[in-house]
Amino acid sequence: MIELQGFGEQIALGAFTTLRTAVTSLALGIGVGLCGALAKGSRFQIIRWLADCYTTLVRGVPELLIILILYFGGTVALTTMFGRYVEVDAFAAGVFALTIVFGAYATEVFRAAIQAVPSGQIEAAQALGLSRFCMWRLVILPQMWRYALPGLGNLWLTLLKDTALISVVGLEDLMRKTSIAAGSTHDPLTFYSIAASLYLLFTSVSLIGLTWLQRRADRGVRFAQ
Amino acid sequence: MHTQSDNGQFQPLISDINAPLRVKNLKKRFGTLEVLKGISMTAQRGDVIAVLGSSGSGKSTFLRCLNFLEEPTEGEIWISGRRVRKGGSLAGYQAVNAIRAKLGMVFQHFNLWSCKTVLENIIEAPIHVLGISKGEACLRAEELLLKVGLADKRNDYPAHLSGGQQQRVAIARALAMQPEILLFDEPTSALDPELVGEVLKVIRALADEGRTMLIVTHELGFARQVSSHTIFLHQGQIEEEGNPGQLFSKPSSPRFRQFLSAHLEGGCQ
Repeated sequence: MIELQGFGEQIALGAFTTLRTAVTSLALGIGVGLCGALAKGSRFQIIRWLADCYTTLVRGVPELLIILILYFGGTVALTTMFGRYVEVDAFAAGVFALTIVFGAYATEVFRAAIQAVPSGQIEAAQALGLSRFCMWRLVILPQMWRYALPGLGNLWLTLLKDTALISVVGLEDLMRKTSIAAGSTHDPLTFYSIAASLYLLFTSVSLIGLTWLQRRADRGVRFAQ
Repeated sequence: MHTQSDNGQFQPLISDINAPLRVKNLKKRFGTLEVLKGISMTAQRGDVIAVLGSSGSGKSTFLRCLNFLEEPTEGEIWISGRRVRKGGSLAGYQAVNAIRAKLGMVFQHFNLWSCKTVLENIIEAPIHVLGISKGEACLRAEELLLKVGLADKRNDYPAHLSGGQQQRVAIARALAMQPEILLFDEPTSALDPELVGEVLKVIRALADEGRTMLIVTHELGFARQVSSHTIFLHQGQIEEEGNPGQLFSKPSSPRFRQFLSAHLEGGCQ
């Protein structure tokens, strides 16, 4: 039996924080990604331009830097705003940073997925007189979802692991709890291995879930052999 | 027999005013390319109009302009006595949607929604555009499926059907909107030869019911038998039109003669 030296509960809490951070960022990031993809397909040049700036900027800067800038920048901004020192909550800053990063990549995934929906599918909706809203809800979204899923799955795995970066600004996640345990017990190998196994467990379960989702999304679509 | 290839202007007869479809001097340009050079025509209730022409003659574009899948550059379209306009405003958009609901369109490549079952494909538009209840929409859909001979396929996905079956579902989907006019854009061109017959049979039955239809097709034999009026398009203009019996046996335009002989030699029925 592995000796956890009393750190078991702490690590479980850290793992929970990691999952909570990742899932929250995923949900918000999908929203941001969808908006970004719509913005990139906008009729208005200024909106397209803004969306381009967003994805270029965020995808061009290391995640760690974005987290640091948002955390310290946020602190400075809030302190200036309220006139006294305000410390940004690590969870909020982390989720914000990961959402922005995930959203930028998801924007590109969704944009490609929307373009992959055959134009005939949309023409059929138009020809039947469906409103724009109905067309998106009934035809485009269910179909682009299928094309977006593999890309989103990749992004989710990256996101799950990127939560470890937030430990640098003090989020009590799996990574931070593990390094504390490793430091105080002088048994880093055991604790880092446990953390690695937990990350691996989460990603493996995610992969099973993704396979299931993909199969569901592919319902009714026969692939060319 | 009369031609009006160089004359876009024509005086509507009284009976034309409330015709299901009246088109006046319709033009469509893509950039500098003028695909439709002024087409005028009228479809009375129960007319089955076959639109023929070699590829590039503008026949599909003509059909797509009627329900604004392509926006006409110039000209007037009247549906049941009301002029259709497309403005930039929301109101304009709704006006076009209302018109689209009255024109059932059947595409060359069926365009059934691949993520939905046969039944879902048919009921979505009646529920969301006409606002009828799901139960009623299903009931109607089942009737239509029976009519096109596919009642047992209601829960299948389009990908599991043959091309001919998919096209029959597409026809049922168009019929579910109870359109005033049916537009067929080369409905059998994407089908294997042995599947063409089943689709033509359904279209023929619709013609016998007295539905108003415009059919763009390469099936000359079918056009001759089923249409009440045949139009031959050439380079974006009506080159020749009239009663199919006369038109096919005594074509006056050399281009239509050429078109006919090319197709008949090609082994068409």
